[in-house]
Amino acid sequence: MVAYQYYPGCSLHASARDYDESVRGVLGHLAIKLEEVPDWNCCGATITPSLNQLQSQILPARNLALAAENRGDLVVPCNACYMSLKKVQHNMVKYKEIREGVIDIFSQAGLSLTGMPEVRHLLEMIMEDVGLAKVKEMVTKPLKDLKIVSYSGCQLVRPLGFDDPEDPQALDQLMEALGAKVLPFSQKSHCCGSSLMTTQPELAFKMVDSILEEAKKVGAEMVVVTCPMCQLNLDAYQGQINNKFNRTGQLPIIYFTQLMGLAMGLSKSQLGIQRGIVSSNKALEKIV
Amino acid sequence: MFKDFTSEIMSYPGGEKITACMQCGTCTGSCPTSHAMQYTPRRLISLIRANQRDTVLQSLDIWKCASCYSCTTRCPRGIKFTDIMYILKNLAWKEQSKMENKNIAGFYNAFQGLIEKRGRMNEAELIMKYSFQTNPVKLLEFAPLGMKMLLKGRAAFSAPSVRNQVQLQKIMKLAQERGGE
Ligand code: SF4
Ligand code: SF4
Ligand code: SF4
Ligand code: SF4
Repeated sequence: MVAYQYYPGCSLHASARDYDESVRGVLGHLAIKLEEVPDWNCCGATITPSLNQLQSQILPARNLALAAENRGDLVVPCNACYMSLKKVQHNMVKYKEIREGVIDIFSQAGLSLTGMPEVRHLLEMIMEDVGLAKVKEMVTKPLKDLKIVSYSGCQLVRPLGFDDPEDPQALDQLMEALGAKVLPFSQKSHCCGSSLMTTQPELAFKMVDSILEEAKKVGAEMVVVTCPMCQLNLDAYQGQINNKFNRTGQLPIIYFTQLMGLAMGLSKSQLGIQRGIVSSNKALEKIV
Repeated sequence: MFKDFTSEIMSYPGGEKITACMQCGTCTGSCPTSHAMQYTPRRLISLIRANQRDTVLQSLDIWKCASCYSCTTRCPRGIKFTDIMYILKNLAWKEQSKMENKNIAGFYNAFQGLIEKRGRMNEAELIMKYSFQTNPVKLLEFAPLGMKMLLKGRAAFSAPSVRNQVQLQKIMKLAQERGGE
């Protein structure tokens, strides 16, 4: 059994419990073992770096130090957490003051960064280590004719990410391997507004509206996502956004792991699919 | 201490390349919130280079950055403008502790407070803290959505926390002290 370390991040223990359920369901089905990093902490998202740069390095670095005590790559399902973790690794190599600051602080708290793990987004790990051939082999219920757009979001594919920043391909390829019909979509890596949804909703509403409207226009029945925060912004706020801009029609926002699970024959409830605020029932009628 | 604002920005990790800017505006054109900014990314750089420190740090535009890294990805001169935005916000936060926009300050305070205290985040608690710090009436606005999340089993009942709070609080404090100069 292949084993990885798992950093779920705060959302997957609460508002994105469905993502966590589907991650565990699908990886278990693929005989991949996940060990949750013991006593992990919040990575600080985009908030801590806005307030204090060194603190924003310390938070993800502590998780890396805890993971360094065990073996295996560190798998991360949240785009923002992925960016934070990759960034501190990058900064520690590039900037002496950050490297020395983190090492000095950690030495006073019994933490060590020797043997830091490789950080990989869950989608990256599935594409590279599991591979499309194996995914196809595991499909028992192809997502026949399910029309989707794939939305990777921004932080997954930007400077330190693993896919094309302007036109990411991985999620499209994975969805095609499941048998879905992937529609052309120009906003695959556009930003959804992240925490502006709370502080300045007038900005974030517009960003999400533009993503959803294009998805509807190209005929998508669902939007597939790779990040708990993208999901929350597009799903939970969709009603308010539709009201504000007088839009009709609702689009379910589903995690890529949920669709993988369905295509591999897992049940909807095992994958947390009933937890979407916008229901997926109608869109999934033809496949389950 | 610093000759001017430009050298101050250059002294922080991520700000070093700012003088390479050729004012092409690719950053502004790529920015999903620049339409709502008085000072767009390109203009912020020119204001920094014109040494207009107060204008830049007092502007609420820097808080409109969503950290999407679009500008950084596309800048033809390799300037990491997302990091420059972070540097500007760090400075503004340190120096204008009373920010004009209560919503923004309240949210950042609530989030950071929860991390410093317990090390993990819980959206329901974050919204409560944020509402009490800004305007408790907000709780009513969030209530319908909160209710839906609850019914879908997407709200945590207990406040999550790391076990080794002492360690987490210690390293956060050390970083705070060290980040000062
Ligand atoms: S970025 Fe979000 S999900 Fe990730 S650890 Fe921080 S608060 Fe939690
Ligand atoms: S699209 Fe939104 S939630 Fe997703 S990574 Fe970008 S800012 Fe974060
Ligand atoms: S894209 Fe780069 S070079 Fe062009 S204006 Fe922006 S920062 Fe300057
Ligand atoms: S990172 Fe900030 S400034 Fe740059 S494009 Fe995105 S929102 Fe605009």
